Amino acid sequence: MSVLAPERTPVLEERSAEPAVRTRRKDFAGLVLAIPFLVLLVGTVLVPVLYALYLSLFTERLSGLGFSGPEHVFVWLGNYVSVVADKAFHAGLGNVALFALVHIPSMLIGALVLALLLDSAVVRLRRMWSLAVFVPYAVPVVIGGLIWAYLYSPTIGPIKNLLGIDPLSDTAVLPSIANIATWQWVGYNMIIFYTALQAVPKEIVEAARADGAGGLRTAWSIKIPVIRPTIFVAVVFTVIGSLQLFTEPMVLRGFTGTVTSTWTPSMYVYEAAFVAGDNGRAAAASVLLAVICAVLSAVVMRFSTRRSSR
Amino acid sequence: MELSPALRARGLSRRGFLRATAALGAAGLAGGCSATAAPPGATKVTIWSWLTGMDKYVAAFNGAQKDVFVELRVIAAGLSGGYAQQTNAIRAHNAPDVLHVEYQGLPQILLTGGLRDLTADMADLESQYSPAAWRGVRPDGRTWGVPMDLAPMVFYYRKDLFDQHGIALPRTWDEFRAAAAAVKQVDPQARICSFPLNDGSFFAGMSWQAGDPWWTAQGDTWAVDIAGEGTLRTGTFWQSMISENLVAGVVHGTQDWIAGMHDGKLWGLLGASWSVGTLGRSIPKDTGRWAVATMPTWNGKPSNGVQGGTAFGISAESKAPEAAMTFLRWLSTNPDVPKIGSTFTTPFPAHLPNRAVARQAYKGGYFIGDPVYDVLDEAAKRVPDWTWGPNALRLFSTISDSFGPVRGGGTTLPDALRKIQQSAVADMRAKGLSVREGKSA
Amino acid sequence: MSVVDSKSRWVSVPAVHVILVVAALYSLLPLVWLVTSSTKSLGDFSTTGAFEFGDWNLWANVKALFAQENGIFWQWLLNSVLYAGGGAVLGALICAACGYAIAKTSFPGRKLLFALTLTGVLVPTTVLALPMYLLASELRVVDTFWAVFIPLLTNPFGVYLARVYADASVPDEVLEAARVDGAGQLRTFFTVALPMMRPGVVTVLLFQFIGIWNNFFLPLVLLTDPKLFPVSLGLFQWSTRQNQFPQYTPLVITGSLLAVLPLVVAFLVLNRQWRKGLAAGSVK
Repeated sequence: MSVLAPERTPVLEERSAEPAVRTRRKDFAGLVLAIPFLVLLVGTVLVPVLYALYLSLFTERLSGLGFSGPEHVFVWLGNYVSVVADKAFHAGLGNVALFALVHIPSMLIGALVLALLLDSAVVRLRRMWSLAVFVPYAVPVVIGGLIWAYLYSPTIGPIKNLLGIDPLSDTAVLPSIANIATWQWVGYNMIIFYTALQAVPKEIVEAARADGAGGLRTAWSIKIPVIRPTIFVAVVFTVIGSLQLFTEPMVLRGFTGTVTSTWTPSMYVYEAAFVAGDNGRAAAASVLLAVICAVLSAVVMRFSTRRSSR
Repeated sequence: MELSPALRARGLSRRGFLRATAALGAAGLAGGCSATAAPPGATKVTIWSWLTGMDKYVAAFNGAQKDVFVELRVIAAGLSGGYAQQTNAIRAHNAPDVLHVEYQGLPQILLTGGLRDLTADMADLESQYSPAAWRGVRPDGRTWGVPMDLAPMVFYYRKDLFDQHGIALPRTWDEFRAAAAAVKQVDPQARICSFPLNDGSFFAGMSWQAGDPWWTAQGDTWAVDIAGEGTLRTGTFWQSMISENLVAGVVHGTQDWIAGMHDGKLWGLLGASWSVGTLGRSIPKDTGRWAVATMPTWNGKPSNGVQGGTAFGISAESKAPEAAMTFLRWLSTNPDVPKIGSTFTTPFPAHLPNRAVARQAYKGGYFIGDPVYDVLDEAAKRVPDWTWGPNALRLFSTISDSFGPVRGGGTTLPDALRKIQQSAVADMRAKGLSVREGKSA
Repeated sequence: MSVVDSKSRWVSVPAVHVILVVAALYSLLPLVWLVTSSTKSLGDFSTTGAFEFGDWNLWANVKALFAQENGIFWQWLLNSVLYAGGGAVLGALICAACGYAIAKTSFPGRKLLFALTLTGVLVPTTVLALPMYLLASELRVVDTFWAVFIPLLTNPFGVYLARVYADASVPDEVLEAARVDGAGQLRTFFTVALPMMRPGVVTVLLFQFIGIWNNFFLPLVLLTDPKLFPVSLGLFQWSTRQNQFPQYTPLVITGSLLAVLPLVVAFLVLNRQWRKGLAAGSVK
């Protein structure tokens, strides 16, 4: 698990090369400055993570009718086994995987296209367009979810009439949720890509043009390769975000029965802990989720470094 | 919180911010309780509850006597956090004196071993409670809670439309199906009511009526029977209503549902007694259109389901159980309580003399036909035996999860019910409970 | 690139603008809906079109919103400002101090702390919520301001950013000069380094503000006393009551509008700062 044994940390680490050590002062004042954060990190990340690991090894065992109260039992990896075998957990993982498959390409490609358009020479009123698309990022996720939930409601929202399908039905609810997330994040990533594009050396673009390369070609073979690291960072954060998907389906649950109480792994953890009251299973599921997050980000990072070193 | 005007006046300078933060935090640490102080010498009792209007009841109690001072903390409703918070407080040995439990949640709270046995304290009150409520606080024959209210299900219907089109009020489920078909024939867009697939407590209420309790405590063993004959009969009936498209699927209370109720697209509602107030508030322009009747029955045998109801328990570790009991007896049986309640809701107390008080205080005027409290009283009398099991709350979400695919044809209600039975039994056994499948012996 | 060179056009100018218009409509129409719907009474939802105005019930809705539960909506707004504002200011300072310490001083365990910080970025909130709840329960601070405020101060990504900013904007020569002048480490940080890092610290602050304002899981788990809710959790709770009490719908919608407005305005005003900050956060 990456939290305990940082086998490979993201790109972030690549910049952690030693700064000018010669001027460093060998005293403990630095520690004083670092202590507030250190305390926070230990108290609100390290200790809870260790506590989650501890909790995940125990369960409460009852007997008879159960009214005489529970007994704590150490069950080794029993909670992990029951989570891994639980169909609801599989379904949750399947849902976030599908969500990621819909959300990540549509959101990132949308953001990239918009950024390239803004970066192209022909666009007027650049600031106005970018602001308009960026505004949803300012809307808290819960409120964004509520707005869309109302828009999706079959009789009061316009979307059912517009598309001819019920966006809250069994088959459509996943893309509907992906749409909420895309709406929220496309502007944010567009700005990130657009800013990165500013770093593309003008001379190279000019030279390409002089060679007769069109706008599409310039974008594809010059601009995109330059901002590839930025794109990969965006992918990592979006993957982690997708795995933790919670708020949007939680909000939609009040509007449709098609979102189950364990629709995503995060909801599974919430249900286990706060509905079923099964802390051991909840802790085991959350630890598994963290491991999956760490593995996936490591995979994406490895893939990205291989691609860019080629 | 009393700090806020001062904060607003102070403006939002950075320093003000930090100072304000510190002040608010201090207040938060103190517990955010009601501001009035206890009279000297009074025994303090803390209560956590999400009951609407509990603040008013507590204020009335604190004003009426000097021996016990009740401190209320409003917590999130039931599965939105209330149960989790109470369960964890019991585990951490810092539970309040009085806990809020619904009949359906009582056995699950009991699994923590955190409630006090009230059998002796409550023995004298047995005859004063609605039998269904009394049974609700006695899952294993011991009394674990003080009943507050009960919510029998009834059938609300658009009497004006039923009369206008010559459709008789259905008294049995067969008639109900015929009425549903007639409604659809009059207006192809209209349905007799909605069957909310995502509400486990709704389906539980419907099954309750059929007379096969999902759980029974037998000695030291739970008999679990979620796919019993009565429940399957209920499931099969509603499955056919859904398959024949005779019933709507909107979630009760949503905008879609209100719009349907108001526009004549939904001609009825199978709902709990608390819908009396809800209807009047959310569809105020419909005065004089709606009537109330007891639920249709299976072959004329009087029987009625229940959807919800509140009770209160006392923590096993309470330092002031007698004072807590004094308050709960007042809350449950004092005639002032339904009088206060009638000013903002339509209470249906579990305590029979208090129910008469609530009936007196009811303003009426919204419904046509039989008086509302007569119908509710009759419904409450018809409630058959039922015991909630120690996994009832979790089962509600399992039900709504398993029923989700029904409308799309992914499964049927009877099939889903058989699976729910299996997973409920497996779940209970995994916890170490002693379980027997099938009907009680 | 101000010269419009016909050869460099990707596609036609109108086509580009059509795409931009569609994107802008997609982004803005839901907010337009929020505005029009805030003007409607409960009954108007079923009788008016989604983007039509109702019978101008906005004022009545706002009054009902602030009257509900003794004006608790004010409290929620104030709480959000305290959590997000206080958390962002304090959190950014803590991040700046730690980032600077990692970049510019050498204390034992510096590298270990940085490695821990980076892994901290990856730990999902879901993992932390349950143990934090149980710990808070044992410390008897569930349902207090601090139970939510303190965990939200922790911002490992902010420390990473602050370290990058300290590296980039505080030259070692300046620190050396301060040392020669006899300034202690702490004084050097507050009087010399912090002002130099200011743009970066403001960025961390803005990120953290949005992060806390958006955070839902932690308050949902740690708070049950409505007096301590941030506005998004309060609105969520009201929205879950709609099924039983439909009169909450106009409150939720109007409340959403009032909760979003100040943020959108702040965004428009701080537009430039945002772009700079996002750029710095992403390119590295």
